[in-house]
Amino acid sequence: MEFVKTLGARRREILSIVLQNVVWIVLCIFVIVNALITPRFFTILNIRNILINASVLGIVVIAQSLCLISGHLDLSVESTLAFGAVMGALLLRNNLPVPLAIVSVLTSGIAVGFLNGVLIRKVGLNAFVATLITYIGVRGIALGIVEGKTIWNLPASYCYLGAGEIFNIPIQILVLIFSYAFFHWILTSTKFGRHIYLIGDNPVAAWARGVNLDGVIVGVFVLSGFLSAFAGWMQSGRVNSATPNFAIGMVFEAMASAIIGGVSLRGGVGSLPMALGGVLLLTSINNVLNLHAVSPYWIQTIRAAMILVAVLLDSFKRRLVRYAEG
Amino acid sequence: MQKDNVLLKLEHISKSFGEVRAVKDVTMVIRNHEIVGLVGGNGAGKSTLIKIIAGLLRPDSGRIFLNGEEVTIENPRKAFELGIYTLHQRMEEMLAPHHSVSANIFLGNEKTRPLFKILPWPRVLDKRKMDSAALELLQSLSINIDSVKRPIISYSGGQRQAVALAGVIHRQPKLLLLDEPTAALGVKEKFHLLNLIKRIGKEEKISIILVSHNLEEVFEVVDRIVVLRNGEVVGECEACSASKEDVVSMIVGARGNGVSEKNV
Amino acid sequence: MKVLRWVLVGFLVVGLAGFAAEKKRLLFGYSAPGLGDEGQFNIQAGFVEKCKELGIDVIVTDAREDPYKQVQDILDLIARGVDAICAVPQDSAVISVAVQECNKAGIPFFTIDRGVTAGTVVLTVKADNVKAGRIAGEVMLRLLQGKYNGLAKGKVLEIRGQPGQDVAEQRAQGFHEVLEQYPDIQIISLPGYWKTEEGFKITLDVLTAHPDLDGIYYHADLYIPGIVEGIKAAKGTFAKVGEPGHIFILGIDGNPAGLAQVKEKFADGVVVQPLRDYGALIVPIIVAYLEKGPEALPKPGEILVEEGKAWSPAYVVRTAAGIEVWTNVFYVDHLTAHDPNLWGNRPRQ
Repeated sequence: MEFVKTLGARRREILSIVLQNVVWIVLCIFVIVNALITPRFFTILNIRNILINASVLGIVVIAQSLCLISGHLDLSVESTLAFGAVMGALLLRNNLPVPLAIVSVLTSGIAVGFLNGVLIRKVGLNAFVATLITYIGVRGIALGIVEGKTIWNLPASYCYLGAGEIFNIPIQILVLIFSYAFFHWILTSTKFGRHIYLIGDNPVAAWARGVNLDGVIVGVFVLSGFLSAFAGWMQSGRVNSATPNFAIGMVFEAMASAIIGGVSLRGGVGSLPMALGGVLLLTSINNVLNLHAVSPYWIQTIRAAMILVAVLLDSFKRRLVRYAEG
Repeated sequence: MQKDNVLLKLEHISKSFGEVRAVKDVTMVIRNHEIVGLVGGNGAGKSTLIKIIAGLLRPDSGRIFLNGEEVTIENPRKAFELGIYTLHQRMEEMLAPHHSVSANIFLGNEKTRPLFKILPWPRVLDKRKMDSAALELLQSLSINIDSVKRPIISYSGGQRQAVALAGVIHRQPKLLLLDEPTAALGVKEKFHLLNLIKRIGKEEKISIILVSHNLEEVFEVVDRIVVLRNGEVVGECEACSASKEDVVSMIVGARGNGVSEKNV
Repeated sequence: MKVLRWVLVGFLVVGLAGFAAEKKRLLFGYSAPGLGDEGQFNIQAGFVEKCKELGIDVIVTDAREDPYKQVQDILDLIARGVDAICAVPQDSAVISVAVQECNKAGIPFFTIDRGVTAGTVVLTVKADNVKAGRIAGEVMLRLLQGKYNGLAKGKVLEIRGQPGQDVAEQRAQGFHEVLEQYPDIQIISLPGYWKTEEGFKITLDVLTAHPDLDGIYYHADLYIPGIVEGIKAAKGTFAKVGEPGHIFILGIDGNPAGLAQVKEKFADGVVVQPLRDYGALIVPIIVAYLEKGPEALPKPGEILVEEGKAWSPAYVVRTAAGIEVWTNVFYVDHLTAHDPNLWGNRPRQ
C-alpha cells in the first residue's frame, strides 16, 4: 500500500476511477477472452440466454442493493420470490382472474417487506436476524399453501412478463433495463434516494439531522419485498409454472453480484448500474461454465474465489481513498 | 444584561454516575447572542453538562428553560428540534463521509424542485441550487473548500470540522454547543476554526457554548467565561476584564481577586 | 525442389482427405438436477462413462436442486449446439419449457428416472418402480408371515415420496397391489416429500401413536437416517435384524448408505435400482436414434436383454408420456449386500 503514497494526485485519481469501474473492465475482458476460446459463446442465441438468465436475478439484486446501500441486508428475498410466485399460481389454479393474481403477488411482496421493516424498526431486531426469520418463515408458508407441489399451466397473459417478446426481444430484458434505470434515478435524484445513501453512510448523523429513519428504512424493505415478488412473477411466467422450491440459494447469488458490483456491505456506497455489471458478470460465468465441460464440483470453488477477489478489491478501494488524503 | 434576554437557563442541575457526582447543583444562564466559554480541569463536569444540554444525558434533578419555557431534552433529536445543535471533537458524528460537501451541508434538509415545471410532483433534488448555496455559505464564512462536490473524506480534519460547522449554521440553530472542537486539529487549522467561530457568533448572532481546555483559545473567542470545578460553578467573569491567572486559580481552587464568584 | 513441392502437396491431400473422412465427434449434454446426492452422482457417472467408451464428448451441468437453474442449463446446452440432451428433471413441470425449446431447436430430448409434463421426449429410462414396489410388498409379506406364524397380518408404515410425482405414485402402487389382498395387514401411508427430516418426524409420530408397528417401507434411501433416529427417539433403543422388538425396514434405491444399513443389520433389505447402468442403456439408444431416426428406437412390447447386466431384463412400454424403458430391479439383503458389482458399493470417483 505504501507505493500508493508515492503516486501523484492525478495518478491516484485514475487508479481510483479504475477501481470504481473494475466490474465493467473485468466483464469486457471476460467477454473478449471467451469470445475467442469458448465455443458458441459470442452468438446471438447465447448472449440472449445470458441476458434472459440475468433478468430475474437482476431484479432481486436491485432489491438487495437498496437494502445494502441503506446499511442493512435482506436475507428473505429468495423466499419472497417463491412465495409471490406460488401465491399467484395458486389463485390462478383456483380460476381467479389474472389481474387479481398479479395484484396478490405484488401485495404479498409488500407485506413481507413491511414485516421486515417493522421487525427492524419497531421490534428493534437487526436486519440479519429479522430477515433470517422471514427467510425461514416465508419459505415455510410458501411450501405450506401448496403442500410442496408444483402448479403448472398458467394463463398466457400472466406469463407474458416472463415469456413474451417484442420485436424478438424478450420482455424480461426490457424490464431489467428499465428497472435499473428507474431505480438508479430514484437513488440519485430523489430525496428518498439520497436519504437511503445517507442512512447507510452515517445513520447517527442522518438521525440527528432529522432524516426519517423509520420511513426510509421500512420503505426500502417494502421495495425489496415488492421487487422480489415481482421477480417471482417473472420467473414463473418464464417456466409456465410455480414451485415453492424456486430460488433456493439465490440470496447468495444476489449478494455476490452486488458485492462484485461494488456495493459495500457497510452501506452508503455503491451504484445500481455497477450492480448490474456484477449480475452480468456472474451470469456470464455461469454460462461459460455450462458451455465448457468443467467438472461441476469446481464451479462452486471458482465462484467463491471470484467473490473473495471482489471483496478484497472493495477493501483495497477503501484504503486507497483513505490514503489519498494522507 | 436584562433578564428577558436569556436564551437558556439551567436551574439546579445535578447528575451522578454511581458514586461519582459529575455535576452538582449547577445553575447558569446563556443569553442571546453571546459566546460563553465553559472551562475547568479534568473531571470538572464540563463534558457532562454539555451532554445534558445536547440531549445525550438526562439530569438526575434540576430544570432547563429555553426562552422562558421549561423543556426536557430527551435525546439529541429533541435537542435538534429545539434548535440546540452540537459539534463534537470527532466531527464524524455529524458528517456522512462518502457524501459531498454540499450533501453534508444540506443533510436532512435537501432542496428539491419539481421534475416537470407544470406539475408539483414528483420532486427531485435540486443539486445545482444546493451546490451554489453551499459554495456561497462557505465563502461567506471564509472557509476554504475548492469543490463542494467531492466527498468529504478527501478533505483535511480542519476543513471537515469547518464544513460540519457550516452545515449546522445554515439551519439557524438557536444555541450551538462546541465540545472541544479544535482538539484534533493542527495549529493552522485551529486558528481558522476559531476565527470562524468568532465570526459566526458575531455575524450570525447565534449563542454559542464553547468547551475547551485551551484558555488561550477561550480568551480569544468568548464574551464570558464560566468556570467549573468538581461539578460546581466556582466562578464567572467577562473575558475582557479577567486575567488568565485569575481564571486558572479558579480552576485550580485558589481564591482570586477582582472576580465575582457564583454570580448568576 | 520439385520433389519437395510434390511431397507437400501429397501431405496436404492426405490431410484433407483425413479431415473429410473423419466422422465429426458427437457432443451430448447431460443436465443433472444436483450432484450431491449419491444416486444422481451415479446416474451421471454411468452416462459419462458410456459416452467416453463410445468416443462421445459430454458437457455435464449441475442445477444444484434449483428447477429454474435446470431450465437455464438446458438453454445453455441448446446454445452450445449439442447433438442430444439427456436430463434427470428436478421438477417435471418446470422443465417443460426447456423441453419445448429443445423441440423447437430440433435437438432430441431424453430423460432418465422422471418424465415431463409438456413437450416431446424421445424416450425415458427409469426403474420399474411398480415392480420395485411389488418386490418390497412381497418381502414385507414374507417377513410379516414369518413373525405371525404364517398369518398375513400386521401394521406397516409407508413413507412415500413427493405427492403427485410419478415415481412416488408407482412405488406406492406396486406395494399396495401386493398387500391389499390381505385384509389383516394395515398400511399407514404418509408423504415424506423426499426429505430426511420428514422421514424422522413421520417415524416418530406414527411409532408414538402405534407402538405395535411391525414394519416400515420407504420410497428412497435418503429416508433411512431419519427412520433410524425416529425409532431410537420413540423407543429409546434400536433393535437390529434378528433382535427382539425389531421393526422390519426395507425400501428402494441401494445407495451406499442404504447398503451400509443392510450390511449392519439395521435394515432388512433394499430393492436396488441399477442407477449406474441407466447411462449404459440409454447412450447407445441415443446414438442409434441420431443415426437412423425413430425406427431405431426400441419398440413397446420389446424386452431388452443383456446377460450379466444389472438392468436386464428391461421392458419397453408406451405410456401417456411416450416410450419408456423400465429396467430391472432386484432385492438385496444382508447376505447379498456385499456384492461389489452393486453401484452402492463402488467407490465414488
